[in-house]
Amino acid sequence: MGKILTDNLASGMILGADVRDRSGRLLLGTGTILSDRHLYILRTWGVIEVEIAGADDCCKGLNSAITIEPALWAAIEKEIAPLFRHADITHPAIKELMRLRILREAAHGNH
Amino acid sequence: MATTDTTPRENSLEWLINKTESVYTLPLFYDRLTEVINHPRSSIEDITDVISKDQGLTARLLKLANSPLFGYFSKIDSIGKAATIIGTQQLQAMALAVSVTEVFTGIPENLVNMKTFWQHSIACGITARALAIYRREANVERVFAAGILHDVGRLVMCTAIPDIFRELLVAGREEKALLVSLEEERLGFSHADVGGRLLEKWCIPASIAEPVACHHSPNGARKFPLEAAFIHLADIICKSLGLGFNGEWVVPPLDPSAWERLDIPADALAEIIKHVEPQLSETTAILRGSAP
Amino acid sequence: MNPVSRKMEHAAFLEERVSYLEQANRNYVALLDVLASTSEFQADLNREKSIEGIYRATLAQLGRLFPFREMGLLVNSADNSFTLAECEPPSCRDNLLEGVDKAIMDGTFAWALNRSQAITVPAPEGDCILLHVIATQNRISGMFIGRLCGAEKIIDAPALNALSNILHSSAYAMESGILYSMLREHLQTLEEKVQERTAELQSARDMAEAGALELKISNEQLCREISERKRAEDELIKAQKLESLGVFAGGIAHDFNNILTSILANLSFARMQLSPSHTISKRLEECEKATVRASELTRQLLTFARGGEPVKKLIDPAPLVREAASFVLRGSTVRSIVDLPADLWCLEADAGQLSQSLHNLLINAAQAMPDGGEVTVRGGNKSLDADNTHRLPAGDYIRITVEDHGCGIPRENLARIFDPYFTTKSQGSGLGLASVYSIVKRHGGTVGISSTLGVGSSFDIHLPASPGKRPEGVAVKVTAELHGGGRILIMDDEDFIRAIATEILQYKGYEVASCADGREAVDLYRSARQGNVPYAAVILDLTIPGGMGGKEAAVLILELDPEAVLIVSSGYSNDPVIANYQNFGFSGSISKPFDADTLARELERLIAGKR
Repeated sequence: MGKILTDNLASGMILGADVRDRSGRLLLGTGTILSDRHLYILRTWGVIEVEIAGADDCCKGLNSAITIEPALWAAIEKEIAPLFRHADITHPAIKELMRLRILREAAHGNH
Repeated sequence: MATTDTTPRENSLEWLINKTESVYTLPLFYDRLTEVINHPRSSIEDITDVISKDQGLTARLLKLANSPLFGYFSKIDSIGKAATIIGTQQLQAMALAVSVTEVFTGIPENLVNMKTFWQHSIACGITARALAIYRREANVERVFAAGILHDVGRLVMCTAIPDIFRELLVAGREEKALLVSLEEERLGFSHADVGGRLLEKWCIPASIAEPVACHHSPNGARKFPLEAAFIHLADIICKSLGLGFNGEWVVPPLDPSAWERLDIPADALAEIIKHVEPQLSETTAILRGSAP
Repeated sequence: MNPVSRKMEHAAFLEERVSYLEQANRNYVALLDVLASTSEFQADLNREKSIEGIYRATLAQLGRLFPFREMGLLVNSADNSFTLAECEPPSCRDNLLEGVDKAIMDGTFAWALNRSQAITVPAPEGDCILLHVIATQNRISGMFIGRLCGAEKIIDAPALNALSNILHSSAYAMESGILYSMLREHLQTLEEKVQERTAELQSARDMAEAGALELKISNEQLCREISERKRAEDELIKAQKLESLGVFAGGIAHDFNNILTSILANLSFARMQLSPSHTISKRLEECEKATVRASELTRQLLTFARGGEPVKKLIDPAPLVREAASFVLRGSTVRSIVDLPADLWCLEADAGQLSQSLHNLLINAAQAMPDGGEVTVRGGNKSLDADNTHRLPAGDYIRITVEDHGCGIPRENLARIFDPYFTTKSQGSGLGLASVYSIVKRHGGTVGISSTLGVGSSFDIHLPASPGKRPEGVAVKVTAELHGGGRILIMDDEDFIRAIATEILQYKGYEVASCADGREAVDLYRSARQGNVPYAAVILDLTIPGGMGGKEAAVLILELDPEAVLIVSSGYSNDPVIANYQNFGFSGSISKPFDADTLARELERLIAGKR
């Protein structure tokens, strides 16, 4: 499974993943056998590339979910605590931002 | 002590602005662009003429319009096409965004590292723009420009009161205190007030100047509270994620009512932010050219 | 430059300035006019219930803002493609579609979808095309496309902002319009279902009565398969309604019955102590009757309560039917004709519930004929095979038909007639026919209805029968004044019930002790036995919230004394323990509310039976 530019698609290809627009709206579901009409719809919504079943995957593993050891998580959490000392860390937005910061730190391998 | 002297008191807000007014001025083309865009009989060609006179500006605008930030399907190869596809008001805001980093030169690097400063500002602009797109707001480029300009007040401080500002920076770092609060305690106003006032002097529309002035107190914005909330949250996001550095060592407090006004679910933040970082380096390169 | 030419240049500059300001002024006055009509436009949108109306109102408003030569609205279909829903003028359809196709192919369309602002692109003949998405924060409803003459240069920012505002309002109106039409569609389907079902009932009945069933069997089979699913859904909805009502009824039943018990027992006890000729006695009797009516109403509600199985006994329906007909119609202008065969089969049924159903059907019939008339109650035996139209299992049934000659029931009401709280009468509770439905269903039968406006209605009940069986004769009760003696223990969590029951039984000559829960009752019973002053009988309340109830207490007392005389009392008259009290070790049962006489009599009967 791999990504193919919309310009290079042909009818008969099978979608390997859901296609969504920029706001996350589902346009075509996994397993759809592409017809000319589907290609036209992809163009209408400005979809640049889609996952096609069976195509070579050039960037495998890049998007795979990162799992973080609880110990590492705690270490990063402790390290960034001073940064958030003036923020209300019970607020849902701040909680989410702290989580994203921890994921970012872990992904960048600074630890 | 009665005096007829109208010179502002030393270290007051007006004093700061007056002191730097002659140093930091917008490029001439900006006024002409505003004039031509507001003229009821102007055509796209008139706008193209004004912009095309500045080749550097033209090149940067086209680079920006063709960058992943915009994600337009095909190539935008002329200012005329950019004006129709992106819109004239939007183009005006973009022109401000791409020209402003050149205005502030000669800031002592030992106070603020200009590279990381603009990184934070541009990240804030991209993030605020992404929040506005999520909310399906019209004219997201205005929000983009306001995000880029939100901390220029600090640059004014660097130039006008370098010694005081250094003290504040050190205190902020050593005590992990909020720089914006230290500014207010010491000076009676913050960099947000300074930035807002400078933009006013520059005759930048209130839709950009007010959000800058109110980015730490979004509820103080009378005309554009939503735009102020975009900048407020974008600033906090960029501080939280450590994108660039603007002299502030900690994440400023979030105004809960601004968060509620935005009506964005917390779990949507990850998706909104995901696209910011990949766009950051390219957008920075376009906006700052080869500057250090 | 000489002063003259400088002056002339200055004059030219001023002239240009003035004409600029005049032009700007004209533009803004025009824009203000359009904005002033915005409230009118909003009102149009709110008034407009059809999506097409919203499209037309939107195009009209946009036409006031810009001199579009052609304009149209594309809507987003279920498959995420866009179709042109409305255009102005109608002849521009092909032109616009061509423009849309071009915009899709070069990516401008997708671009416009993601920017909440007007996008303009050049079009042939020096024209330009304006695209603007129609979207709320949640949903993209469509796209506006307009074609402007080449001469019109649209870079007038305020006008473009006004265009965005108009389309934003339209997007909200379209979103709610779509929801509204979905709702309407749903209601329509429901309506159709109801009519289908009514028609099916009617045709099934017609077929049965015409005896043409066999000819239609194959056709019916087909109909049945189609309607089976819908029927099941309808039944489910009905069952859910009844269930929720049941939960409600069950919830208040306990407390309500206890209150009624106290009222009724006190009234009857007070009356017992007065001479029947006393003037107050008559008043008390009226109060008692009203209380009994109130408890009847509670019982009707309780019929829906969960787990309320009928207390079935083998009964002869004939006297029940006759009694009901004469009881209900007594004193009214409606006359009853009861036509029952002598050999009408007996059935396993709850006599109370069955007569309640008959009462309700007869009351319904009488109310349909406010000016008087005749109600015919017919009975008959019927053996159904597996292919009957009533959807009943093959077997023996009795059929009871209650037929009036009243106003009839309109077609649209037929399907709802058995819904709880559905009523067309000002004095009706809406529970009567619903309880008929519920009771008959629990007895494994069906109830059907046919009606002709202005001619009358006919309700048709089928109930499983037990041919060849007859109930044993019941000995007539001796109604002599009974007086007891001995020690009685009363267990009930409500102190006002304990108080009145104690007083009644003391009045009747018993020695009475009382307690509030099962644990206490067991202790008292044990110590009384050890002290050699055993209780002659114990009255145990079935349900004690937060304590040991009558069922467990009975088990423990019977362990101490297998010969103990235990009476269960409860407000849940259809609780299985009340229905089959012998299986739980009880000697008798009393359902609340009870009057003084019933309580005394039941006790006397049991103690006497033991002696």
